[in-house]
Amino acid sequence: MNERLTLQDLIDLLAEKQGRTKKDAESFLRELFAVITENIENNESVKIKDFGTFKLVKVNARKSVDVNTGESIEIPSHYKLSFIPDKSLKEAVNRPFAHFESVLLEDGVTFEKNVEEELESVDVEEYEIEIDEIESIENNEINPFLAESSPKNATEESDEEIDQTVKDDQLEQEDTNNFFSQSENEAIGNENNVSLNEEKESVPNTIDDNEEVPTKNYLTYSSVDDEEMDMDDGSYIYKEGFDKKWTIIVVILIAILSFVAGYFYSSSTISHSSDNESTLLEDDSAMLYQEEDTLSTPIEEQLMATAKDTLDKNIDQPANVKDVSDKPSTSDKVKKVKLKQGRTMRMMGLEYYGNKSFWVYIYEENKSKIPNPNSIPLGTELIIPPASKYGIDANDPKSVEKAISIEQGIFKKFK
Amino acid sequence: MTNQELIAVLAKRLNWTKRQVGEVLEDTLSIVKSNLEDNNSINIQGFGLFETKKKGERISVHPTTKKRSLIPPKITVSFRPGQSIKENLKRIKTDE
Repeated sequence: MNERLTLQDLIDLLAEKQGRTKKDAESFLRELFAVITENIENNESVKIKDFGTFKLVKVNARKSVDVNTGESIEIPSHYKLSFIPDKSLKEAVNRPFAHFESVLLEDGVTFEKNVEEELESVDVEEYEIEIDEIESIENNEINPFLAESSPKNATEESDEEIDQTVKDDQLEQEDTNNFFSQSENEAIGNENNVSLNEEKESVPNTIDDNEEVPTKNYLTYSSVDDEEMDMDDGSYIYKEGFDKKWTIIVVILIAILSFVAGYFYSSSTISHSSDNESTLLEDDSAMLYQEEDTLSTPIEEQLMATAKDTLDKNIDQPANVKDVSDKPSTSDKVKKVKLKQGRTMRMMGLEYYGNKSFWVYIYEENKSKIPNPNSIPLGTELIIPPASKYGIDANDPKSVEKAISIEQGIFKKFK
Repeated sequence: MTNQELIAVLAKRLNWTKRQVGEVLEDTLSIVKSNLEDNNSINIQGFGLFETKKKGERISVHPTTKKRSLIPPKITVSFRPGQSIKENLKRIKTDE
């Protein structure tokens, strides 16, 4: 990695590979480059199969400044040698980034910083770390922006709608960190409240979720009706200069809130294991839910959208319990669901079974229709099997673990 | 100059068979390819430098449909000609 090979190295490698003497290898290589050079100088392009083409490109004369004297001079028109790699070479070299695809952007998305850079011989890992850094910075950048938009909404709308807009911003914020299309935000934001409540819990969750959804969006993008788009001032603009102080404050507050959230989480699991009676659980979950609600309103005032992430995780748990105890009937029905834009199997797993990891069973059931769980075409009809078929029980940690291990197996296959 | 011509010329100069030249050429290219895949650069003194470059993502606008798309980052192969070649090229007269 990042090594610089010389002609000598090439000679050694070639001699080894071909089983010839180094002398032979050397003479071959020298001749090879000599012939290429000669042809080039005769203005003849050299095309090498499965490698690329060397050819001359004419460069027009341009005015420039002499570096020493400062007076303007003209750089005469001349030729330069250009190498155009062949398709197979391009693909081979781009392999670490092979799974990316272009994404259509809707109006309203603006990036002030033009993100075109050329990094010379940087490690792929380094680059990914850089992306992570940029993302975390942008995460915090968005926060002050959200701070501005939310109080305005609070005065005008009711509490419920605050939820909606914060969720919208939240979703948008999450999305901008990945190669998302704008439409996903709007599609989610425009669905009715009922389904949104459950989706909200799963979307701002672990990075795994986001990985699955963005790749799907690359391939399943379809243009969204302009009328449907309800662009808030949530048209986010990345600001180049962000307030460092603000980010530090935000980070500290998030840390404090996550501790509090973690405390609630642990207390819920304790009550979980100690008592098996559903009524008791219901009481506990109701209590916890209430407490979480009271927490969530001050949060909205403080506009810690990211803090809500950890809280939402918490809401996950009591919501699971609530779902199972309230609607035992869903586990017996077999459902057919048509895949809407922005829906993931994880969300469905959460909706129908009470835990995101149970998406694996939805996948199993529909394996024939889903060649790749990371990207499912829009409108695919998925059969939601009854929970009893695969022993799905959100309350049973073993069942969850089993689903998670299946999940790992699937990831290995498709990543 | 096509592949075949290249091989023919090389075979003549080295006094090898075309087959041998073809094989050795293929091997050479595969070595270069695998090194580029591993992010190693190859410098041939007097000829030039083959290296990989990372290009960050960018927004591009389709000229006719005016649709904007986000092009993801990618890794490309880049060749920088060596000094001797550049010198020689300067000598080539261009028709102005």
